[in-house]
Amino acid sequence: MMNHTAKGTVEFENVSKRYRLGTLGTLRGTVSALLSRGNDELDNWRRVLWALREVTFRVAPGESLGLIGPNGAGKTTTLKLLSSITRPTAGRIAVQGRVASLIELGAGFHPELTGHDNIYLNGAILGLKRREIKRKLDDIVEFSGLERFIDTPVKRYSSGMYVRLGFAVAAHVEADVLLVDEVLAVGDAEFRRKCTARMEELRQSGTTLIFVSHNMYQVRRLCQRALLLVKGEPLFLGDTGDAISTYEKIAHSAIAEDEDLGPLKMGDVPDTVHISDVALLDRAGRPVTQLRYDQDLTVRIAYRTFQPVVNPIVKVGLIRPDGTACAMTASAYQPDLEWTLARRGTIEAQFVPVQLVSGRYRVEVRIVDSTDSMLLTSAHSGWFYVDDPAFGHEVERGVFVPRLRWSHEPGVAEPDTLCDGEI
Amino acid sequence: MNYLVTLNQYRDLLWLWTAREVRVRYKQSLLGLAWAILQPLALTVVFTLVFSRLVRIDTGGVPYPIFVYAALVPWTFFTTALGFGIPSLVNNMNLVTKIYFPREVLPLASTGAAFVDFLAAATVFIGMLVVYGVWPGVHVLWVIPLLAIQVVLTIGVTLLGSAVIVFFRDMRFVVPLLTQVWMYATPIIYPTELVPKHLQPYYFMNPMAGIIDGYRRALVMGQAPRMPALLLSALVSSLLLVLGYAFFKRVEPLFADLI
Repeated sequence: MMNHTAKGTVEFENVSKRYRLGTLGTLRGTVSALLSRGNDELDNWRRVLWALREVTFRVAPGESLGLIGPNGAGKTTTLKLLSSITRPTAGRIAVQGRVASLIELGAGFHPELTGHDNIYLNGAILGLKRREIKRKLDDIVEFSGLERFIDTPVKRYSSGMYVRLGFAVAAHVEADVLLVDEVLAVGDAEFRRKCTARMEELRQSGTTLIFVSHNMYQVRRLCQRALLLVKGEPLFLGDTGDAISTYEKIAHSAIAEDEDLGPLKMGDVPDTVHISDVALLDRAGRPVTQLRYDQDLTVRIAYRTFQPVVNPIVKVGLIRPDGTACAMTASAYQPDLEWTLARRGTIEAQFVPVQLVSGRYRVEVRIVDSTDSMLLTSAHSGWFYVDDPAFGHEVERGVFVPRLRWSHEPGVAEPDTLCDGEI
Repeated sequence: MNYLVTLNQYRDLLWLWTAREVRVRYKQSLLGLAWAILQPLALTVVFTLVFSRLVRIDTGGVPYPIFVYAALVPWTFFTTALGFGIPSLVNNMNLVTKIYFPREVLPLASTGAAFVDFLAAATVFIGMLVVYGVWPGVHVLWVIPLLAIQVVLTIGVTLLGSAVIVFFRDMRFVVPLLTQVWMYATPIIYPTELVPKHLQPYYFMNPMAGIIDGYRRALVMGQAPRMPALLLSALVSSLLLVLGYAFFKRVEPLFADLI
């Protein structure tokens, strides 16, 4: 290893990893496999899977790299190789400095032991010395927010508490390289926010971060660059935003191929109303899949009814890929609206303008009865993309782009900010 | 040598994991550490009934309970360490596949935890010496090198076994059988003198034979251990440790892929 490379540098050079699909699990199996040619067990053992194929990247100290891609892409294998849990079949891996992996939170926790004892155990597994753990104990306990339960056996913890304690320990390992695998998908929103903030803090203090997540918002927030892997092959390495849109285009085309996840879903209550199409249109009435945050979006819902439906409530939501509803609105909010859906027709809902931050969204439509007590049918549109001017610049990006009016009056003590309510 | 440097960096983990093994084992048991004493004690009672009442074994005038307990305590240490140590990697697969640390920590901690049991059972032995009025004399100091050789052997066998079991899971059933057979090949219920002279060179190729015989001579007979036999034990034990550790480290990178 070269001494002039700084701590926190991660190098991956033409790395490939092959797994054998079958294992020689038993003595009997092995003996019979070796004795007889053409044995099933041996054939099975010979079958291989390339989890990674010729992957190359380099991460500088304090830099953050996101690993994205569908399941089975080789993301976790990459992390395992980096933490030397397993070795590459070919290629070279060099990691300078101390590596800490948040691959499994609370590794080595024993249910019979108290939170306090498990902090020591887990810390030691992550490579901390007892002295270091002792020094950081108060911080760890405080971060976990489990002061009251720290002398309780962890078997009495809820799964959320368990994870909080696990993350608290891992977050206090002073590592040069931090490997994080999907751990932030757990816990409540508040804790997730805390974890993300902590990782941001570590990165800013110079820790190299390698981050695996299916949550593109977190990847975008935490990573400067991203590597897109599909079936072990590196498809894209570069700017996070570009990597994510490449991935989303692939994922989108995959969804389109999959009939089960097609753009329309059959009605939940048959014989009343059925949505036959959800179209997204621009101001001129042309179909759109890409628009700017300040452009208008029209959702056109085509329906068929089997019997007239009087004053149903139509609900429209803007959903992003992680399932978050960024906006939910309903026809009931417009007080004078009275309609009867009969035979066939279209309903339009206009967003003037769409006002979302950059990202991928789709529209979900639900039709419920006039008393808002029974779902009659639901459907969703295909995915569409929104661009906003702040794209890629700000870390805290929020959900929507409000229309603000700023003003400034020198000499006045309090700034005078007006929110523009006209939409 | 590099391995030992890395292991040394993880010595706190070794210590904490050993403590975990000890505490977890007795946390929810009614009698706690008393189990560590009960096991050799119960066997002592059984063997005493069988081999000094039903079948008479000539112990050279030593009361049979002391005669057998002096051998059962170190033997139980050996089998407990193997019993917990050999499956330790397989039993902690979620750790082995998720986080890197020197894997030998797990089997080593099992030996460490078994040693705590051993100490508890050994205190009872002191009580027995007082009750039976046996005073071993200065030869009791032989216990220190005997223990050292035994620990070397135990770690060697455990490392070897824990690595092999990752590849061949049916080893799990082999281990209890092996230790049972091994027990009869070791002078525990009978004195070494019962082994025919011409077979003794082969008999002492079992490293545990020289060790257990040594304990008994030093603790209850007031004699030094049989010399060529103990040296052979030391040699075989060291060889097993070096080879076992080398093998363990060689196949270590495969553990996470196989488990």
